[in-house]
Parts: sequence; structure tokens; C-alpha cells
Amino acid sequence: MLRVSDLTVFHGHLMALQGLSLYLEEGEMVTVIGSNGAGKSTLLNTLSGLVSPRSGSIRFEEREVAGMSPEEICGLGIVQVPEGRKLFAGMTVLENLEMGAYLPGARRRFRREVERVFEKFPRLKDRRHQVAGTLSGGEQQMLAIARAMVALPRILMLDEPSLGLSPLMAEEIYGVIRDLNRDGMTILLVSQEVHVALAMASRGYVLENGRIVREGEGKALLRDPGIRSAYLGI
Amino acid sequence: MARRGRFRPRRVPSRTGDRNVTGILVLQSVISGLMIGAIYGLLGVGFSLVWGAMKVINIAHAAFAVLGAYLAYFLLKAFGVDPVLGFFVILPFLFFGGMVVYRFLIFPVMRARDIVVSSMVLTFGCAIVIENFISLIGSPDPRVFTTRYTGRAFFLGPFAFQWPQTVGALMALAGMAVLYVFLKKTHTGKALRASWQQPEAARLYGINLRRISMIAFGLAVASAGLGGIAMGFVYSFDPHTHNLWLIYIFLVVILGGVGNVLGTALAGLLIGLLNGLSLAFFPYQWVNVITFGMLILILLVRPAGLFRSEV
Repeated sequence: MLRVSDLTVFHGHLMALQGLSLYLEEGEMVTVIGSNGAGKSTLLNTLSGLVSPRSGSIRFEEREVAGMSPEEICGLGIVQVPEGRKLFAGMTVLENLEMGAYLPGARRRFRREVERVFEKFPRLKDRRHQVAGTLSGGEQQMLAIARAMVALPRILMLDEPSLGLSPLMAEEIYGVIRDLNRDGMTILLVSQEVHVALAMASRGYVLENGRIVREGEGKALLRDPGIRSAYLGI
Repeated sequence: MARRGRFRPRRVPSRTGDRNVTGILVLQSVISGLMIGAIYGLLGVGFSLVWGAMKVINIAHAAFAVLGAYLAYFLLKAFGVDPVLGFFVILPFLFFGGMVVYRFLIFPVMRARDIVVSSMVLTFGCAIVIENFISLIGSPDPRVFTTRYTGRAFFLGPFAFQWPQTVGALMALAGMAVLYVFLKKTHTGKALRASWQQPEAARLYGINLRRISMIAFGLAVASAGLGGIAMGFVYSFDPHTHNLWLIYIFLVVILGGVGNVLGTALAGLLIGLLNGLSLAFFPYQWVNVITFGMLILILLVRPAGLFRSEV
């Protein structure tokens, strides 16, 4: 469904991603793990079109999306839930969702989609007229996911969805992500919480200094001694 | 500066006798002050919108206001079009003109490292160009709108309402209401708020920042034109007047909170009120001293302005 090959991205003179390749099949949950500064967010931002690659290709269903604008990419259904949620903090829950469905295609289906999202997150429905900045951390993360859902994603990319949440709340958010995947959503999950991410995902990639250093089935990577010592401290 | 004298509102003689004259005079000043304050508010709202949304301090904002007033003046002189109607003729020109200015002048400097400074220098240049353009086409003499209702007033109880001032204030209130509804209720208005609260996320969901900023700038210029026409009902104007208006716009926006539309509108009314009251109690030459002295005091206590900055 998504095939990234030989992707190279620069931040000024610094190489952020070097010749990165990965693929994603429909209905899969794939995770990219790595430490701070490994290039995980750069990868997602490049896929979203916020950053343009120096070279390499990103093919989404036989279409080259590298170099497209974020607008076009969002319209195709590659949708990101950004790190730190980045909600429109001064706007209400409902307004945040309306902005998720900003593009004409999503806007036409907004009424139906917002009902579905509210079914999944009843707490957001209760607070739909509340200003987003006043929600709790967990609710904010739910809103961030909900905002991406109404954009009609075909691939949902999540950047550190558990950042700053209590362990209990983080577990709930991961539960939501698992449910979405079970319902057929294709998911690319970027996380520093290596254990949880690898246990959930069907496949995983390990990113170090802008390079994929290891890839394989989630469970297999979890047993890998190198990864256990580097990321799990075991 | 000889210009200063023009800031004095025209006085209307009271119909009542000497009884209660002070009380009525004070309330009368409050009314005039609030009316002029509404116009400051409208001028401030457009300025604040651009500052908050794209970090551009548009020094030419008041020059666009004066340009609007001049265009309305020429429509009035040449075709006898009332400035209120004239605004609707001018509106599309200012709106599209503003979008063009954004696309070809402001947007190219948005990539500069320090947008605030670059945009100030750039728009300062724009202000000079507009000012001299007006002087070239018209002449640098002061102008006033002379309409059928100039010099007329109506009374509510003991209070006199001058028609031109009232028309100007109503235009300003209507302009602010339209901007407020646009920002709060329309899809594009919400996208504008979203893109200034969280530009990156706005782009992720398909909001085109360049397009949305262009619309915002067009609207700000159009609202400046409306504010200028409203001002033209109260004070005379000449090509240099924008310098004075700009100082008041800064005052209003800093007090109201950058990017805060409601706060800016309220700050406009407050400044007008302060101005009116100090006019009632102090000699004219002290009015600006008192107004700006209050500003310094307020900023010492609340450096971020009176109102929390959000919308």
C-alpha cells in the first residue's frame, strides 16, 4: 500500500534520514522505534509532506507522493496525529474536529464521521463545546486521534501517542489504537515505548541516526538480544 | 504639531440650561468617547488579526485606512455617493488589493529569519508609498466628508448625537460584528484561527497557510478601509493622518492583546472612553499625555495586555 524507498532527507546541512526504505501493507500495524533524534518525526513529517525529501521515492498505491503538498497528501488519506498532539487549543472540541475535516471530501462526510468518532470516544461527545486546551491529557490525545479520524485516513500515522500521559491513560490510548487496527485501519506507529509498540505491531523497524538498522516481526524484534539491551535495558 | 487640533470632536451645544451641565457634559463626553472608541476598535481588530495570525506588524494598516477614506471622499465628490454606500464599492478593491499586497510583498518576506522586523520595514515602505500616492492623486489638504447629515444631530433625552459621528460608530460596530462572526462561525474563519494557533497541525489537515493568510490580509485591509471611512465622519484627514491613527491602533492592540479580536474591540472602546473623559476634565493638550500615561500604568501592571490573548 505504501512503499518508501531510499528516502534521504536533509535539515539544512544535516542528514536526518539516509536511504531509508520501508513498506506498509493494507490493514497492517507497523511500528518504527528508535531513540530521541533518530529521525522518527522527520520520517512522518516527510510522509505528510511537511518536509520535502532530497531524494528517494514514496509510493502510495502506485502514486508518487514525494514532493506533494501536505494538502494533497492529506486528501489522499495519509493522515498524521502529530507528536505532542498539537491541538487547536483555543478552539472547542467540535471545532477541532471540523478542522480535521477541513478538506472538501472530508467535510462532505463530516456529520456521519463525527457521529462515529463520538461513538468511539463518548467523553469527547460530552465535552464537544469545551475548549480543547482545558481537556485532560488523555482526552486531548483522544481528540488528536479523533481529529485525524474525521480526515478519512487510509493510513493513520501516530507520533508518540502516549507522550506525557499517565501509564493508565497510555494503556487506554494503545487500546484505542489496537481497536482501530482490528477494525481494518492501516497504522504506522512511531514510539519510544519500544516494548508496547513491538508487542502490538505486526512488524517493526528500528531507526538509528536516520538509518533502518533492523527490521522484522514485532515479536521477533522483541526477542532480539541487541534490541533488548539497547532499548529495553534487559 | 498643528495637526493635533483636529483630534477635538466637534461640540454640540446642550439644549438644557445651566442646571446639571457638568453631569451631562461628562456623560456626553462618555458617549462621544465610546463612539470614537468603536472606530479605534475596528482599526485595531484588523491590525491585531494580521499581527496575531502571521506575525506581521503592518505599519501600513492606517495608511490603508486613509486610502479608504480618500476613495470614499472621491466617490462622494465626484458622484455624490454617500461614504457608507461608497464603502461597498471600495470593499472589493481593498480586499483584492490587500490579497495582492500579501501575495507579492508580504509573502516573499515571510521566509525571513525575523518576520516581525522585516515586515515592519516592508510595510513602513508601503505606508510611505500609499501616503505619497494619495498626495499625488489628490492633494495634501485636509478633507472632511460633507454629506446631507453633516452638522446635524438628534437628541436622546438630554444627550446630543451627531449624525456623522453616529454613522461612523455604527459602521465600526457593524464591521467588528462581521469580523467576529466570520472568525467564529465560518469554515474559513475557523481555519484562520486554527492556523494561527497551530500552523503545523493546520497544514497536516490540508489548510493552505498561504491562501488563508492572503484572505486574512485582504480582510484586514478591507476592515482598515471601513475604519478609515468611519474616522472620516469624525475627524478630518490628510495623507499624513495615518501616522497619528497608527499610534492609537498600537495602543488599542497592545491593550487588548495581540490576536485577541474581542479584547481589541473592548480596548478600543476603553481608549475612546478614557479620551472622552479626559477631554471633559482636562485641557485638550493633556489628553494624549493622560491616555498614554494610563497605557504605561496598565502595561506595568499587566504586561500582556488587559485580556488573555486567544480567539
